[in-house]
Amino acid sequence: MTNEAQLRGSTSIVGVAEAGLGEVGPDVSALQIAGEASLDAIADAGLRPSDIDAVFCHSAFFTFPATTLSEYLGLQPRYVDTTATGGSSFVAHLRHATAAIDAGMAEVALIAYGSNQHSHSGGLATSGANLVPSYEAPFGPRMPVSGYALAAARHMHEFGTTRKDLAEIAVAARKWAQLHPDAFTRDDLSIDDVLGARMVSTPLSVRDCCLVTDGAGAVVVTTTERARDLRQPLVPILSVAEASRHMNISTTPDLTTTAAVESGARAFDLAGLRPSDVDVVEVYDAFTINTLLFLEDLGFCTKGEGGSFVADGGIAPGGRLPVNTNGGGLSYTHPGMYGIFLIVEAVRQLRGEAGDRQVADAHVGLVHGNGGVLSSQVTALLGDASTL
Amino acid sequence: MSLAQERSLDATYRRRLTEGVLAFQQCGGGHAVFPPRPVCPTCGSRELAWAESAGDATIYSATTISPRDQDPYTVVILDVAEGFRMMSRLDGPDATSATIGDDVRVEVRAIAGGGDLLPLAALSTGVDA
Ligand SMILES: [Zn+2]
Repeated sequence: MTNEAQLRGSTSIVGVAEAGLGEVGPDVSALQIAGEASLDAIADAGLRPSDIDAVFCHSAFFTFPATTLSEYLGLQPRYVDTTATGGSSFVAHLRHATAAIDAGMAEVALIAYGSNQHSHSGGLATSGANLVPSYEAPFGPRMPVSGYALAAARHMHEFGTTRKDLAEIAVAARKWAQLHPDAFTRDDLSIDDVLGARMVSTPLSVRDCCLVTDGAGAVVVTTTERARDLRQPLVPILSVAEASRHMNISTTPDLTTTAAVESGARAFDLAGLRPSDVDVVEVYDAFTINTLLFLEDLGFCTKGEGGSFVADGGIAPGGRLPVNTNGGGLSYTHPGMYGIFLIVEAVRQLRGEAGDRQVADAHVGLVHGNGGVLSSQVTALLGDASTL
Repeated sequence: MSLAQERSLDATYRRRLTEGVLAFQQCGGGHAVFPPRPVCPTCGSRELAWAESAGDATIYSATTISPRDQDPYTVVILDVAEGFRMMSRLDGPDATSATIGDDVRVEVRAIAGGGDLLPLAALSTGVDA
């Protein structure tokens, strides 16, 4: 059996694409834009749909996601995976695709997501039906916001983190978004704007919360051996690690330290890298507190120091560490489950095709997906050709 | 029917609420288990017995929600004295004065305006229970 560390760099991301970002209109289905992103990602790789033999998909908008998408695009995959861990699913799919490819069960994997939640309902659609009794819903939490608000409140209590620290994260995201032509919100945003915004669930205001947009993304993965003959710069998958400790926030053992501690440590270990080796960071920022928690848990600063790490533009363009360089879920796009867009942006940075927001000398990128209410944590390290 | 024989764990929990009791489960090793399930997630024991909480708890975290046409209320995660964590809520004046670390009493009642009986929280007044 293969030791997981031996998988380092065995697969690469060879195609990426997005479709239907922002507002696509009421009659354009989530399936249509997921299909469009898939076809564009396959074309980006210089491949044809008939080359795809594994399909990974998750959606809150159509059932049997991978099967439905396969039918829609005329694919006959021999490997199908609908791993559903919320917004982290697509980062987990990178790992599952790598395992399947290593085992000879597939050769070219398509990973895709699409959502028209903005045009469909205007509300955040993050998961499917839940037909088991809830021990949280009767108390009236405004989920998912209240779950993250509970984490933020506890972080403030334990470490003295302030609403201004969180506002720094929203402002940094907006400054990155202003460098991206496709970002949903690009108008100026100040610390005071965030602090003065309508409160949703204390201590989080509406400006601490992600956007509600439409959008689709897709990624194509194959062996690094085959990737060398394809048209795009090499972006090897150096490692992926998954962890989770709870589903419901009220059962978490610790509101201020997430399972990203475990997924991050394993991902760095498998890749033989450390946080100081990372040139560009893409973490799932459904809420401002997420960015803070993940920067701490992944080892970019110590627990409780996140506030000072992000202060004074620490993660904005020109800051200490480039984080969420497309503007993130807070300002770029957030169609419910954002994970696929983390991967797309990291790949664009590592290829050197990120335009005005390009991070200089980006060789190692970290992607961190979050699912549920800080429930599922998945960390991936991606590289360029120099990392092999 | 004895509690241990009631087939639905969720129904047992809800029935105890109608009797004014916040019920939780305990394994032989003394681990408190909540919400109800067929196994102790700490040690794996499937030998679980129902127990009753005395209702003493501390606020582990809190978030206040102010709906447009409704009084503010505060959703909390409680550390219940018997050793489990659960979601609850404070209404009325308590909703805006409660802070993390405060002691609360869990009372089984309906949210103002009606609905199911729930284990709701109220700030402890300092009177010895
Ligand atoms: Zn036990």
